[in-house]
Amino acid sequence: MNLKEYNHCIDKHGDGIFRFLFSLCKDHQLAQDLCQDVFEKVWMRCDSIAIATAKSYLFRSAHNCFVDHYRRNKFASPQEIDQLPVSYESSESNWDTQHWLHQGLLQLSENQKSAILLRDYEGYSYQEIADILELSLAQTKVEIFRGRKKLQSFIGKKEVLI
Amino acid sequence: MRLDRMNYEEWALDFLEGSLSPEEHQAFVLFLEKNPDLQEEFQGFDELNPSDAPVGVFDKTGLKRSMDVDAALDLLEAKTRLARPLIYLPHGIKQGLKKGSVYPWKKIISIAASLTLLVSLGTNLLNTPNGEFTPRTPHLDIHQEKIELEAIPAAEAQVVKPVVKMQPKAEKSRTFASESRIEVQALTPKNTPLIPSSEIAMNPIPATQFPSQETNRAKVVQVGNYLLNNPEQIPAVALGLGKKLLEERSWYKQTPNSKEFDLGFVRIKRS
Repeated sequence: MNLKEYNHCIDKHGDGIFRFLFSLCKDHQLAQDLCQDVFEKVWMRCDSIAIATAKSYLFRSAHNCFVDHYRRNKFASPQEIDQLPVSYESSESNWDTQHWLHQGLLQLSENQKSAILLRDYEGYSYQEIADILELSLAQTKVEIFRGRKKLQSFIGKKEVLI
Repeated sequence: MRLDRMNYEEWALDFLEGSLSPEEHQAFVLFLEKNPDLQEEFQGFDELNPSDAPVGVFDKTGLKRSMDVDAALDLLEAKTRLARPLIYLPHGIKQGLKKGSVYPWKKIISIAASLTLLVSLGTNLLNTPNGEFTPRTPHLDIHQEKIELEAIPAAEAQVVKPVVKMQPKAEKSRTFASESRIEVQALTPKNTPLIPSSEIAMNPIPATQFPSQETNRAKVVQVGNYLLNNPEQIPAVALGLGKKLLEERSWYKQTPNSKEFDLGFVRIKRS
């Protein structure tokens, strides 16, 4: 990947990586910092990354960055950080449902979160998600299955409360 | 792997994919029958073909016919699909992450700043009242006081001898030890008397007088150095070495008559 391609990557995938990281950590500032770390890593290994695989490399780096950060700061409570109102792309979706679904993400494990976000935000196939998260295909499906069951359960409880 | 409530999901996908062995398959069915609350999790799968399984009973045949893992996940996905939030990486950060394109601007800005600084310095220096450049010299106000010293008669003046520190013997010894054994021999007083080994055994001197060394060669050099500084000790040293000196063959070289031992600095005759 050359300089031009690297800069193109930032334009093309910068928002996606930031959105992915923000959804994982629910903290704008932290998401920005992690995003910069991700692109710095990519820049350092620019010569060994092909443009065709750059996107999956970026998401894998983002996932690893988040996991590293999460393990270093296990006791931080991201639930208290997210106070900013966020709109969602889909006009069909109910804002409340989306809000609770995104809140429900915080209940999931790192792999579950990343797998579901990669599936829903980026439209990756299960195999691509497995490659990015360095899991087997079966493990990936299990993670997504468990994650979605938890989300379903979470929004179910919220609907009952409302 | 033992099937329990903690790991049943891993079994579930394999079950639905039909990749469990017959024993595992049976175990999983029994497990679900014992845990009816968990069957609710499979309701999503039932919806693919509701007529296959009666409510509340886990019908494996129905599931086997109708279930497709990806389709089941898709169904679950439809209920819990996350829409992308409308948030974007701030433009400034995005531009900051880019490489190369930012560099010329930095360079231009730094050159412009340097030029501005030079111009402003030049303007300040030349902008004097007469229009001439007059470099300022710093003014130092130093207070000087003359101190009168009383003259001392030459006869009363004491001559102080300089203190010359001699090199310690230990250091000299170290230096010598690094040299070869041949030099030791060259410096060793010649015509040393032959000392019978019987006398050596009879008149030992304390071994503490000789610093220990790791190698035999170093020992020879060390003892030789000691004797160079203390030639009067040659007979006593030879005695003090005792039998050990004769037992350690590397310390000496045997002379042709096999009765005498040349230690470099002293020869010993075996009695």
